[in-house]
Amino acid sequence: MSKAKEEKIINTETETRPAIAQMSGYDSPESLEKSLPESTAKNLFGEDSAAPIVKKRGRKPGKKIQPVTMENGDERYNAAVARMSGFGGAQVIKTGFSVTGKPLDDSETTDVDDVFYVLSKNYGLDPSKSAIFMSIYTILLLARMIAVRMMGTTSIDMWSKFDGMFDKKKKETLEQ
Amino acid sequence: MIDFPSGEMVGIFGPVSSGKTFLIKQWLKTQNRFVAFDYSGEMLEYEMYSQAPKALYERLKENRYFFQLSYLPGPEVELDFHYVLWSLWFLPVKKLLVCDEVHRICPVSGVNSDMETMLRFARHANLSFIGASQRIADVSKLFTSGCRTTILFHTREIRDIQAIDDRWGCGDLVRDLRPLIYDDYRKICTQTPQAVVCKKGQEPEVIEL
Repeated sequence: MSKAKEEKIINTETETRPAIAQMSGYDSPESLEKSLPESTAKNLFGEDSAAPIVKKRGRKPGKKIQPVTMENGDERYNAAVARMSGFGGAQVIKTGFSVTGKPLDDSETTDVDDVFYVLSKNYGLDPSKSAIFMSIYTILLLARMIAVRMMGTTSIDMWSKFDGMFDKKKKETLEQ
Repeated sequence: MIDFPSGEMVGIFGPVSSGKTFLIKQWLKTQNRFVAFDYSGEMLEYEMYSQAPKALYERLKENRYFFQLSYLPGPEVELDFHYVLWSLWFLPVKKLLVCDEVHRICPVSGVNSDMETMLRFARHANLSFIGASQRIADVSKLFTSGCRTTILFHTREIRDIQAIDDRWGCGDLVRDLRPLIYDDYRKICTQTPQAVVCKKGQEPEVIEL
């Protein structure tokens, strides 16, 4: 027998014959319903006790999620508004700090009402904190040392020579 | 595992911790419409009604196609059974009534008219019945003779062996069965049981559980 056919047979209503139904002593389900007591519990004195215990299965009602509006002052909403204000300025500031090798952590930023504040003591350019800046700084330092060596002077003389070069050019232009 | 003999009256007998309740629970997992008349509070995982016939009836009326319920009777067991039985009786669907400690409502001393009607005419009302008890000698012969299937677990009680011999003639078979050994402390079964299945019109058969 196919499963669908079997299901159909199982779920088909099969009315109990009146003769069998009447064996219960009740004329109909309605008369049974009328005679049913709320509770069969009795206390020690033979009186009806409190309401019967019914434990239904199902999900317990959880905490309701409030809709996010300006009125209910939801923290997430205010934080989002603060970050959006200034055309995303907050994100630009945060990115700026991270580019310089000093990313802001959560304790260094705050949202008050709808304004984003940075509470960082970090200063902008600190080559020692960023690998990129360290490498750029090293390259520049080496380049300067090479330049000084090639010109055969000390670093102080090199700058004075540079100044002299510009002085000559100034004189020439003045003479002309 | 034994398949549930749907649409039949089934008796399960065995001493404490022999595997009766385990077998019933396994069967109930496959059933969509049943009320467990639960003396000992062993079926609390289901929607529970304690001495509340009206609430039970209203629940059955609410959805008669799916109900997995347990009913905890009070001291007036027969009164509670009366309401549970007739609430199910009128439902025009196939349904199952389970009763642990069946000797409480079906004692060997004699059965009341509700029980007698159920034992004789339940199949005409599309009602299946599972009755379980620790002492077969305490249960009315009207029930044991009405069972299409009877499952007997190992026992050494002389009175029960005599009752089994008297009803099915397989006392020796039951005495030689392998019993369940369950470690209550560690909650593990260290030995699975055997059972004798007596089906109407067939020879008793030993099966592994």
